[in-house]
Amino acid sequence: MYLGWSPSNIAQTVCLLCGFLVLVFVDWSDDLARLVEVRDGLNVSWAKTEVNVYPEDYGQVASVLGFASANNLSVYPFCMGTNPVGPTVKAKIGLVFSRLNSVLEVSPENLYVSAQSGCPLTSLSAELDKRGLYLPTDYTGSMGGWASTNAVSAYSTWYGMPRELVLGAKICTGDGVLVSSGSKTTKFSSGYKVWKSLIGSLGWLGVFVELYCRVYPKPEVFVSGVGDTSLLNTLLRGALRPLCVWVVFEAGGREALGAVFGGYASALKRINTSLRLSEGILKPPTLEGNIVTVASKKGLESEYAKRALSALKGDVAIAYVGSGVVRLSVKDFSYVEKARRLLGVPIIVERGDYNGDYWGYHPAVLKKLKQALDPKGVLSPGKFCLGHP
Amino acid sequence: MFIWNSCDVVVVDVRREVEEIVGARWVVEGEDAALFGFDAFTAVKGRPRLVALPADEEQTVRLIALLYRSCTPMVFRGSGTSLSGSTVALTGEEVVVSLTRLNRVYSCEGLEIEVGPGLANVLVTRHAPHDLFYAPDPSSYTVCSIGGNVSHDSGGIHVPKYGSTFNSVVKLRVALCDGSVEDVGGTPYFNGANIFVGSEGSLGAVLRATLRLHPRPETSRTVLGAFQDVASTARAVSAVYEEGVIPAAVEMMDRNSIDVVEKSRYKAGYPDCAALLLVECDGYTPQVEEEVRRVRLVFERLGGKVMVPENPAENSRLWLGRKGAFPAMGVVSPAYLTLDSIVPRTELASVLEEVGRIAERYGVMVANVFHAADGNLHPLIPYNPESPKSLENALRAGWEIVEASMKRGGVPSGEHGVGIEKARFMHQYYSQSELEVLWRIKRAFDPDRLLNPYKMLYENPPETGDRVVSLLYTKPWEAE
Repeated sequence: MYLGWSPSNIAQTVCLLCGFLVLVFVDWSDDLARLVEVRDGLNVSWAKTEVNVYPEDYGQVASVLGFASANNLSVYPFCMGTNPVGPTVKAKIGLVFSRLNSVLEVSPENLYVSAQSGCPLTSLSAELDKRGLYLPTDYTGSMGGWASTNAVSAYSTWYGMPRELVLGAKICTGDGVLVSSGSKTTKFSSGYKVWKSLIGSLGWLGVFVELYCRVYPKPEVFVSGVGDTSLLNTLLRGALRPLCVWVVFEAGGREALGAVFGGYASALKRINTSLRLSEGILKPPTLEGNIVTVASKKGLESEYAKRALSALKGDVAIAYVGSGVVRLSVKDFSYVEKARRLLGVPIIVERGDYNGDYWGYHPAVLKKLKQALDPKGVLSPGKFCLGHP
Repeated sequence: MFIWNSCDVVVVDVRREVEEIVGARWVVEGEDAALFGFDAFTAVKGRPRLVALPADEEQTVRLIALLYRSCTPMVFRGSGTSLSGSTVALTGEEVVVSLTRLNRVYSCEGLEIEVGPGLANVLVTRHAPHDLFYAPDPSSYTVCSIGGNVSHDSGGIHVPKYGSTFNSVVKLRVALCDGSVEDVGGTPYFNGANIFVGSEGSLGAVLRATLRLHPRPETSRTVLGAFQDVASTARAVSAVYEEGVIPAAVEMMDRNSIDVVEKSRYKAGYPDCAALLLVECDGYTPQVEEEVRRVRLVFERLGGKVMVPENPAENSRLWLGRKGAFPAMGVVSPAYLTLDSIVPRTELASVLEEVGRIAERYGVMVANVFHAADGNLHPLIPYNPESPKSLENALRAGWEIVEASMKRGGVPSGEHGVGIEKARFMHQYYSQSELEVLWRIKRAFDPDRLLNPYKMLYENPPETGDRVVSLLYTKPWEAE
């Protein structure tokens, strides 16, 4: 016997404790189920949630976040989970956007598309294609995921990233306030760019429920070329204006340059270059495993890619030329801190298990935005550190 | 001057402390400060308590910290070209912090150039490598400052292809109200620079901006289309895009604005027409040639007469006429209002018709010269600056135009900012809960509301005794 407790006393206490915990658990989950459909949670490498909820309209999104904020319950917003970024999030509630999946409006005359955040990009692209339009990205996932990860693509050379392409959005704050921010027009100088602050913030500041994006007339033809990296400067700063330029570096020293041009057939027939050209869209390779993102200076992505490949002892580096982004696959993250000191630019652990600081930067500005948009700090806890860990 | 205030119990002689930081030579007050009291929104003139011109980032930061600690409202100012009154010292209590001396070019590497906020827009390209240029080019680009451009998210004629200032901002160095300095942006994730663009100096001061440069196009060609009715002109804008053309610029001028330009020193030899479009295509020469061919076909199909400049001088003359359209209004009146609302392209014809009806109702002339591809209207409404009635009439006509734009899915301001001019519309454009979220952001950065007070957001109107200011701050649904 220990401290006068009999086995039966211990068993009774344990049962009471479990019962209490079940009561607490069932209590908030039950309350939540009155607002929205609740199902089993998630247990994957990038997120763990106790329950998942599936809102069917924006009001339900707001209700869930309002409820979570009022009851200090953490929330992890996600949809398809195709491109997780950053540390694993553990949250009470997974907020799943899969049912907010419609394309709402395509305007060929005004060149914008309006879609819900759970809309798969494949569906959106199909709708745009019917009208001779396209959204310049090769992201696979949902609209909300694309915007929340500010996903770089080969098209970022010319078109930029979601930061430049998202014209406006309906968002929801961490405490459940729905806000229209920006518009469907290409210019907006009528208040704080709240929606722009959410782009690339991985659902940590607020969530997108609806997005308005700039789209483009689909070029008559696409022509792709591969060639020597010595052509890079000419392609980037010369007359041809490729839509996409990327360079792949491998640890063994191999390098390859790819480019995509889009325009009128009559014009592209006259391209004079030593690239090996073929019709169609060539894409850079997909990285697997542990991935690191380097925020390089725009126009110098190749230089930073080579330096980062060496400093991080990486396997493959892709320089998305003109975007300021380099991505690398690495065996492990042992050299991240040293590479940060060496290169002097932000180096981010994009995907994989890392015991250290995924981001390497902690501006106070983000803390202020967090205070304003998610005052109780319920969204994606641990995704971004507010101070040095 | 000693200040007792509720923000800080420390008594501070603001003027003396400001002089200690920037030097007495760089403090302006009294009559000499009058020039800093107003900007390109000529309807309102303010009077700053003091003007301080810090030499560098360190002085700027110390100045901001001092002013905040002493509960002194402040307004950041560049060249004073704001068209929305964003740099006006409204109440007479504000210290104007002029950043014109922070005009260095710090570095240029790859496609990035790093500059101070006081640098004039035109000088960015001058300091870029010869094969690169800085794209955002507001009409005032020869004088407006980069800090002002960032604060207003300024646009210009090349936004359709190259985006507004926001798209060109890579990183910012900002000074916050507590005297801290942050380098933000330059990362794909958690970009802290985004919130400052278009924030009109109400969240912090821009100390430095890293901007994106673009490769110069190989070729640039202009096509002018002269149409006999506004509807066809507006239709032509969308039709150009439907041909797969991504123009670098599409500018529209109506008959009134053409007439004004043709009477001014900016005379361009524009044809007699109801409205014209100036389209610029740039890029790879074979692509541009095909784009020009298609634009011509579009114009001809919609009944437009096509003119293509035959030489660079003619090309420059056509564009100078457009860029001079605002100052050309001087032939009509020494003062005019410049509106800035945006509508979807498909609403252009409808809103221009409405503008015509509003002009008639108020008995004002409205000259429309604007960025047609963005749907960004710039109705110019002249008024007699000696007549308060004339100004009020012009303001009211302008308000109806902004409302007409919002009713058509537009926004109050595309590129000039909210400032004083459109502050009243914030209560109309946003719901109360949306405004509260904007206020939460404001309070997080500026808890004592000392940074550019009464601009963009306001709780109660400023007490200035000025009828025009009082009108500008009356919410549209309130009795005046």
